[in-house]
Amino acid sequence: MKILVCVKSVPSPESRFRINASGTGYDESGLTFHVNEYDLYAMEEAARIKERFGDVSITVVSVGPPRVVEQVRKAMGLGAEEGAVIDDSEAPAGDALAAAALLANWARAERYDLVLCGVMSENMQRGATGPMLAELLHLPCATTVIAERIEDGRKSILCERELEGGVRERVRLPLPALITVQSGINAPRYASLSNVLRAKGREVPVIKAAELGGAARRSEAVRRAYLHKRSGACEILTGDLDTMAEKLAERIRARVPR
Amino acid sequence: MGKEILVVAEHGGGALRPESLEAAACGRELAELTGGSVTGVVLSAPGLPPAGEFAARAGIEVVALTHPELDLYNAEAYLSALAALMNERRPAYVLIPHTATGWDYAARLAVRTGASYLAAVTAIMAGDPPAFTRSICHGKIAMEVMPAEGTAVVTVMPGAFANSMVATKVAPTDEEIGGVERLEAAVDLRGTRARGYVEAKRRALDLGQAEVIVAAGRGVEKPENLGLIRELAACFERGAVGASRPLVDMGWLPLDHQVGQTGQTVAPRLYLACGISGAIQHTAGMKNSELIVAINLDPGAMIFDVARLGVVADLVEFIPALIGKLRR
Repeated sequence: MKILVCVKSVPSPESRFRINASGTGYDESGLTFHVNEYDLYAMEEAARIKERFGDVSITVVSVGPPRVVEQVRKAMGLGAEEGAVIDDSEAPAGDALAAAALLANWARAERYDLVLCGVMSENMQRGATGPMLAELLHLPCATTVIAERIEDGRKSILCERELEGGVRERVRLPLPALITVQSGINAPRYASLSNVLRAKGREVPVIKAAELGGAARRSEAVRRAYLHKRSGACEILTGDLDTMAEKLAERIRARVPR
Repeated sequence: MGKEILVVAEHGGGALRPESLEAAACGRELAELTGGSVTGVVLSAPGLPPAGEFAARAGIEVVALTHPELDLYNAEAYLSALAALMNERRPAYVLIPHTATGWDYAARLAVRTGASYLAAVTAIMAGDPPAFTRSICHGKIAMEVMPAEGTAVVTVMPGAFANSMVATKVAPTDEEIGGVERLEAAVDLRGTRARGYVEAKRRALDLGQAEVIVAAGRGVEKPENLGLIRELAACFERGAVGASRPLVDMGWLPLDHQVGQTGQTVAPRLYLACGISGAIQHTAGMKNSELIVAINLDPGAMIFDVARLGVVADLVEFIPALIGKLRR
């Protein structure tokens, strides 16, 4: 069984963001990057499928500038045999469709049995790349999967999707298929030293986006990006710890005496 | 391409979800800017009520696409039926609520029909053509986005547009109300099968009963620090401990404590958000609390946007001080 796990390199959500020079996004300089958290859950799920079936190979891929190889190796360290980077630094994939098109053009020939993605990225939070990739590869798809089981015979995968309020909806997809996973689907393991070393030693091919051919249709254009202005309705308490605690306790007891 | 704005409703077994009406309100706003018309779309098995209800409550004409395979949500069924409808009517916009159901098929629909895709929009900006606002990076950055030329599939963030309803009596069946056009849906499942719902486990903890909720987020840093959260909740007769999703994912607290889109929605007298960043998945579940207080080390955290009182401090140091004052 061949599994593909798509990962994205994203900045930490606690970052202090600044708008970039073109005013269409955030400035990447000075930010630290890590593997999109939801993609770690996807990688862990792939590792568990491998533990269950045995004859499974896992490939990790990411679209981004050359630095994302660090995140690819990090994900590989959780148990993937192969990794690849699609380098779009010369013409960055501006939206989900562009990224999905690059992934599709690269993955199509490989005929993966299962493609796993995180439900969304921590930065863009659209949840679009996975489903769009499924559509471009003509694969059935289920998003926000909180539990999955490949059925005996490996012809189908039974998924539980998590809806609002924690309600779970079941759907069976024929394989090959693509699923996007929600956090909490599993508990990601710590990378084993052997896997980390193996990932460090493997060559991670970098494919230039231009080699994958075909300018993707752009789906959206960003006219302007700006820092969200504080609504100003929040009163931030001042003073030392003791003073703030005193002020807050007063306000709280005024509302909830007991 | 015409000027029609299709609004796809979401329903659970025949009960219309409020996000559908919010999307219709978005559609009406868009129609005013573009001179277009709004048409609702309901996909369901024959005989189920939502089409009539949608027409009556949103005050719009509705196309009811029916097929036996539409009794439960199925991405392939929705995709094939909607793609056929879009091909026929060539709308300017297709609006879909940005719910777990909506985002399951909306992006795919855009690719299948060659339409552009905008996700989770929160506002419309006047212009020719109009632009849309959406947030990224946990709400810290806002963007004005434009769809590419042609039809645009747009998902509408729940809670962003007022659920404005036309005040009419809700009709129990389609037949009792005009404005519903019934069409048989063209459905091609391609092997995907809806398998129903998993029975929900009964909740051991109903946060709706609490007068005060002290909620823990990632800023708590270690499960050991949850003792502080519990102690703070114990300062109130009807206090309870809540949690943001990441803590539940990590197994630090059971699911029963989770507040947010996929957890419980609460509105207590007092909500103390401790070390919670304020991502919309969480705030959607507590923003109607009477008094929201946020304690967070990151002054840029989005929680300070919904909170009325804020403390920028390390909760591990601040909470013991607060407990001391409350106990006096």
